[in-house]
Amino acid sequence: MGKKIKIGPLHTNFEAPFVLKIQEDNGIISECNIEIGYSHRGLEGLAMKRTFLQVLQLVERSCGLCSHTHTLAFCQAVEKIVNIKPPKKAQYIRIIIAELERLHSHLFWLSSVYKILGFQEITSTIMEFRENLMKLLEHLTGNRVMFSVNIFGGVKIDIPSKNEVLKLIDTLKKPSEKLYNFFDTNLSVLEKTKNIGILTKDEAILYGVVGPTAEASGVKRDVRKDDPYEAYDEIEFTQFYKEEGDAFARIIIHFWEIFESIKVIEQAIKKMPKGKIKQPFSKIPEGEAVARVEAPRGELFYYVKSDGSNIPQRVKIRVPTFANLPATRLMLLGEKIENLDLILASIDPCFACMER
Amino acid sequence: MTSIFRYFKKIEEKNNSFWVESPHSPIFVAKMVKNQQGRLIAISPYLEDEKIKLVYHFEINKKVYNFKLKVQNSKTESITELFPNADWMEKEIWETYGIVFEGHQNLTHLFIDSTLQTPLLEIEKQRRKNG
Repeated sequence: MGKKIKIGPLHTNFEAPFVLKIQEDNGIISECNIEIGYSHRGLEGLAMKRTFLQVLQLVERSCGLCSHTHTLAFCQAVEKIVNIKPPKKAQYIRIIIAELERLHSHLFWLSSVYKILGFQEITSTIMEFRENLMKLLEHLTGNRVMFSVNIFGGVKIDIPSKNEVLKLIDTLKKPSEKLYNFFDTNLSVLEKTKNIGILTKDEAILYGVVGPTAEASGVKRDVRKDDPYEAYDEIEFTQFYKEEGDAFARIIIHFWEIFESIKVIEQAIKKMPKGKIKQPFSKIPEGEAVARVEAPRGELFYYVKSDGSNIPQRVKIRVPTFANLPATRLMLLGEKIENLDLILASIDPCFACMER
Repeated sequence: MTSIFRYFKKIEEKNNSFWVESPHSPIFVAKMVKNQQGRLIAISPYLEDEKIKLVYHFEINKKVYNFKLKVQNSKTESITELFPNADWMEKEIWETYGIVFEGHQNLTHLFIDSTLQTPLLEIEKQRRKNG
């Protein structure tokens, strides 16, 4: 009979607090339970006491790494209730900022994965060339995170310096390829990640996992392809998937997403038309709508209900980590305790986002 | 898809998704959706005229279908047997709105600490009543 171990709420490799209660037998996890709630802020309750414009600022603060996708989904839901579409230029600006956010989120996550794998030097190298991306985002939007770009009916900012964006995106290509080649060929990395934390295709479908976690298990699921929003139907990019469902597959899918995001930004910059960046409207009428956006971690879902007043009747948020984290129990069962951090990190969890 | 809709009288397509008012139980709807290889996205509770209503959001063939189901006496059926990802969704609704999901294996706290009073909706109602 093994021991019961409680890990957390503070962790060395994760920024957010959570508790893991595991039952181990000779170093193998035989049962595990995740307890959350340490970062719960009651955002949905607060949203029912604030105006729509205040809620836009509130939902932006659900998460630091995917703030733009939260405001994008909320704006889309409100625009559906009002029955307006933002101008084409605004749609392209939204795509460019969303993909820049995907890049900085994936790079930040990759640095933590390399740290868990024991490559501290690579962690600081990634943060160094990610810093150029953060400076670009600050130059374009005024903020390094929480860009405050989205507004109902369009966007608040224009992107006058297209060449600057293209120049910076170009500087990310070679370092990303180098990192990918290292990851794909280094024996130590392969030993630590292949056949670890497997989630089969059937399990992924049963638990409704989303994003790179689903794609790594052979489930093709990307809102940008399945239900295109903004101007994504005018942009060509490849949707990847792998069949193995292990930690290696999940990390590789993130790399491929980085390369595709670079292509999407280049296309969006070239195809972005001239024109207005905002569609005005007067009032948010009574109605309800749902909106789905592909956040860096997967499908982000919003349900917004309006009773015709300036305060939303209901704002329901379902983030991708809420869909993926329950499935990690299946990934952890039968694995060694020392692989715990890597398996949890491989789904790119965002606890602050999930607990709202 | 029309095979599932023959059970539902009021179906409306608006804003690129389908909205269905259904008198059926959650398990009935969940079985229909499961047969169509659908996926549960979220369950949204909301308050209307002092009554709690639930909207079950499913994805079937890449389209979102929103089923509005009524709740009787703060109780309804759990769909965790068919959709295990409903586990955490039903726990969250239980601790905020006080709806008991019959058949749920482990209806315990998810986000709110067990020492705090729940459901939060009842506390909110009392707070509004007492000013």
